[in-house]
Amino acid sequence: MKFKEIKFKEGYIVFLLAFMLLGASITVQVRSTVTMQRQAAEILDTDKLKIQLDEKIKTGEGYKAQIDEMETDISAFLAAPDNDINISTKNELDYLKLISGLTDVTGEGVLITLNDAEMPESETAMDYIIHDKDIYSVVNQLKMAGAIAIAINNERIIATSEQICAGPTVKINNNRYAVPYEIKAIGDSEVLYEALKDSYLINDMLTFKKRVTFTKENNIIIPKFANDINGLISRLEVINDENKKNQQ
Amino acid sequence: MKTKKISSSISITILCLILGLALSWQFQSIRNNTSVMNLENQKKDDLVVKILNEQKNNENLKAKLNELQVQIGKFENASGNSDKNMKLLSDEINRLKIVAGLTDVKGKGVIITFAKEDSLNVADDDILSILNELRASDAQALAINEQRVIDTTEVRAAGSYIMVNGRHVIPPYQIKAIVDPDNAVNALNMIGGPLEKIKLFIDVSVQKSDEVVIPKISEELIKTGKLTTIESK
Repeated sequence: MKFKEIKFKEGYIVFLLAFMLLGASITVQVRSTVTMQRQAAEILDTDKLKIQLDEKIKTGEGYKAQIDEMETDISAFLAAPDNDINISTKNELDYLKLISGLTDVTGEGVLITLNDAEMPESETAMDYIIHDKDIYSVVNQLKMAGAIAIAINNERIIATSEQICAGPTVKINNNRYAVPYEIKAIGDSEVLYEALKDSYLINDMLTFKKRVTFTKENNIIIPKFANDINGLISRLEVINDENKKNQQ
Repeated sequence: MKTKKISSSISITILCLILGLALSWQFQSIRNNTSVMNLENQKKDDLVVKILNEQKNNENLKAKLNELQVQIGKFENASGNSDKNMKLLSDEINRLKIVAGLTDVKGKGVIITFAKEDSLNVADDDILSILNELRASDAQALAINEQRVIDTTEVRAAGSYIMVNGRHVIPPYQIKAIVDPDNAVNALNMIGGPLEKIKLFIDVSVQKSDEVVIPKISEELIKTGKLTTIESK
């Protein structure tokens, strides 16, 4: 009798423990399922975001198409013979557009790609990713080697084009781009290539295993500056010598 | 009696084994869930960033579109009237001359001056980082001393002096910008901004000015060789 009682108690404790664990385990399971459901709702959210993104891209493409159309209209107007536009005026206009970066251009040059190192250690990751400084230093290097036209990810670099960190992206001409960065430059391809080959900037980047490539190209195509022009000059007041003289 | 005891401990052992397996399986499944969840969140964040980028890009395109609309409106208005046409064209030419940096310009802005006695310490990087910050603050005209900064302008530290547009710049070095002065000063002075580091080694001052004068580029510095225009269809 005594024995039985002890055995019963032993069993009781073991079962108590077992069921406590079971209970805990069920609770955790239920909670996990609930979070899974919540997550399913978030996936739905992700789908919505994707649709939103597609819409935005479509809108952008629509704008681009409209812009192209209008620019064609304007050049057609300028080319129309009944508008009394003499050749020299037309040529001056074309020249100014060319030097302002407002025409698509082509020529020989170099093509550079910059990308983060593969799988950097998280603690030292900052050393292994491409920063704005890497980009504008390479751009300066290209200018030193006589580059005449430069674009990064097809954003034409003009006098006031920034290349600045904005979170995980770099802002260029107010548009944001993530890696990889593709820098195109038109100039003497031999000189540009040699300048890059000897560049300590490129060497430093390679030391940190950043993925850098550069090649000579015969046919680089660089698009025109695509933002509005008024935004480039709205604060500028021209100091005109002739006006000054007339006033005196 | 003995066999009973043995059988009961066997049954408890089996029970515990099953429980243990269930638990470990449980933890495995929870770990899976969290990693899937993290991935989803990451994807969502990426999407949000992409959407914001597109939105910003679209705003830029919209501004360009409005500008062209105004221009076309003017052209249509002037259609058939040669005086008006000539006026439009000369306006356009004047506008493009400003864009190209072929005119002296003035406006509100900032002047950054590196003290003359520290000029040997000024590196090309210092100037480049300040130029970049000013550009990011929407500067519309930039100059280093009397050299207008255009699209092909380089900054080269050559030994103890600095060259811009292929010309020596004489100390004290000054960067001039036509830009919203408050934005520019804030951007330059922010924590982690370009001046933070430079100020450790160089005496540098930033002044707001109501009339920053920026000279035009000398035309012989404009290079177009090697460029071929692609005619729009």
